[in-house]
Amino acid sequence: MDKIEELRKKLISSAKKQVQEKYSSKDVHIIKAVNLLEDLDAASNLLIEQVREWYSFHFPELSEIAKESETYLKLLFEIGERKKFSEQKVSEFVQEKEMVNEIVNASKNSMGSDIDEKDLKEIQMLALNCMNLKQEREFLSKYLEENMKKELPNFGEIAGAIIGAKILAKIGSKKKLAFLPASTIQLIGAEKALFLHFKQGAKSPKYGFLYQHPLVKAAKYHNKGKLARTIAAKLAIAAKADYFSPEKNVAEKMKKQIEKRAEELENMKFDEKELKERKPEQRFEPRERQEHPREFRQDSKPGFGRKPEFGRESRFGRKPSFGERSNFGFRREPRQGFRKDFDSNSMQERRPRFGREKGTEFRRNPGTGFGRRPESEFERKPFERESTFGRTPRPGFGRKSSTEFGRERKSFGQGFDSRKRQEHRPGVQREEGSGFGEKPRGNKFKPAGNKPSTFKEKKFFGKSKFGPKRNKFRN
Amino acid sequence: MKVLKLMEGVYSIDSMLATENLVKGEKVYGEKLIEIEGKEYRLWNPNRSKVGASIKKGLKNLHIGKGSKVLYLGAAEGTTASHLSDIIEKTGTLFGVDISARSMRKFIYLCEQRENMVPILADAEQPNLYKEYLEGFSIDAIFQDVSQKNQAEIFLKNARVYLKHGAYGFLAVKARSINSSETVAKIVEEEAKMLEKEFEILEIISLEPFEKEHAMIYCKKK
Repeated sequence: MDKIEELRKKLISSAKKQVQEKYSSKDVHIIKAVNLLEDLDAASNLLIEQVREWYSFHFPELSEIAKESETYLKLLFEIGERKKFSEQKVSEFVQEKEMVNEIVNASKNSMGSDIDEKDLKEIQMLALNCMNLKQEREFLSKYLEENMKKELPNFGEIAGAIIGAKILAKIGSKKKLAFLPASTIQLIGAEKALFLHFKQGAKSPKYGFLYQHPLVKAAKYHNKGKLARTIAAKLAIAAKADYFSPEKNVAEKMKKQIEKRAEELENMKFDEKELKERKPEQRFEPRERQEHPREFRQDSKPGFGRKPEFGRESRFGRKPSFGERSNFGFRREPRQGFRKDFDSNSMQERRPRFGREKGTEFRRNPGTGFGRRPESEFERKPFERESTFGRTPRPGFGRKSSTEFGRERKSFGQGFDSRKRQEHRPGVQREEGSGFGEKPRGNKFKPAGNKPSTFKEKKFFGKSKFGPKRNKFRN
Repeated sequence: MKVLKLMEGVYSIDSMLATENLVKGEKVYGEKLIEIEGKEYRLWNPNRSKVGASIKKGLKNLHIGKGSKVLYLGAAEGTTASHLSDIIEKTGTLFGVDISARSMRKFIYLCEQRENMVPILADAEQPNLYKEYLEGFSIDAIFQDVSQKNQAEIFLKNARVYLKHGAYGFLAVKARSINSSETVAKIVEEEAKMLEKEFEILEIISLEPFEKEHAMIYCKKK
């Protein structure tokens, strides 16, 4: 026990030392200051609103005339009572003559009620505190600038004190900042859009905090991204200089280069047509849910599917017979959960992937459903299944909008030839589930046979088997 | 109020989890204290503790008791670790490893209060760095709750160095730290596969509704 006691004391003291060391660097203070700036703004806005409302019992017109909170608070604090609003006094705090006259006139014909001295004093005290808060924010901002000049001179000069500090706050330390690639610096602050791009295939963001940079703000729309990229590249170099050799001044030269680039971009002429094509694509919107009837869909294009027969589920395609190419060149995701008998992984590895399919590892079951490979045990009985006939692929599975569907249809991958399909013959034994088209929504499927033991995906994790993307467009 | 004993050190008071408080009168994270028949119990909040959530979802046995030596990776501010230290009582020891200095500040304070907790400010990915401290102790159980991409690897590394044979491991898997676009079931399955060679996986418990997209892997070292 003594051994443990000794060890414990030793470790406590060493842990304390480590904590001390970690917070001895200066960038911690910058990070705190920049986080506080926003909070201070929010807090002061909140209080000032309340002050305005309270004073408006006595002099409501002033709130409309003096929109700037600084002047408002000053007038409130220095003068206070409506009677004392004389031209002389008001002109001490307000420069514009018009406003002075407005205020004086309003004070004479005000609809506000009288107020006690005590109450007025309370309001004035509150106004004083609000003014102090605002001043505190200014002091903090100056402190931030000074600190940035000391700690990250190059980085701060190029990015500006506030943006530089915000980026530092996200990263955490000077050292980590020094090892960052420029692309990360460019996109810091746009994490939500970035992960949406990764997960849902949305358009990638071009700028994060750098959007607030004065040069980027001033640039034309189609130049913002380019400029953000340039600035980020230089920032990466500046960050390294700040960490490894802080005495060096690399920012001056780089600033000139950036400004030169900005001018270049300004003067570049773009083709209007080209410009139009470059405008942000309309993000696809989820299609409306359609009830797919069990009949032939009138709008489906010829060759796309077949008529249903005998009330039986219509399905395009069939299980490819042995030897024929299966899967029509599309990768099928292995089903999630336990499938002990059917190991689709090994089969898929043999199949080469081309072009468009290469990046599809993270796609869900291709909801476009071009010839899903049938699964033996877990296949649904045809009667429990909705028609999958003629379902056009839905956008959102890493696909662009449905207008491009027509284009895509021409390239089905390897070996698909609609003419080679077997004819639909009644009575022909078919492997179940070799359906064309999306899996219908809804939990109508009950896997035949034994359910997997420990994994029950849907109930288990409360989500659709088909993954996050699927869910998003279900609604 | 009735006190039911679920397992050694863990009680259920009116269907709320609780452990017996090691330091009477002291709260750790604002939880409720209840006194019954002279004993003080600390309520265990399953929303804030993954081990607590897994017990609520059916974990039958933690395999620790008085005098056990426990290694807790990802101790953070010590919410779960404090309950484990309640279970192992004064004769046991809990080694809490965490990489964050900010969480350590609270954890060190907790360790000073409780005699059976030891703080280690280190990266759990490199168990050799804190090997010198744990030499001579054979660990009875490893609990892990780090949200890193290579969670299973960290668990394996530490288990190989420290865990006794036949002892138990509890790995809380945060699926979104590993892969943000695949389904949780698949991710957890893959993690379990990584452990299969050296561990016998006894149960995989989903922690819904207490934690979304988390699972607890309860396994035994072969």
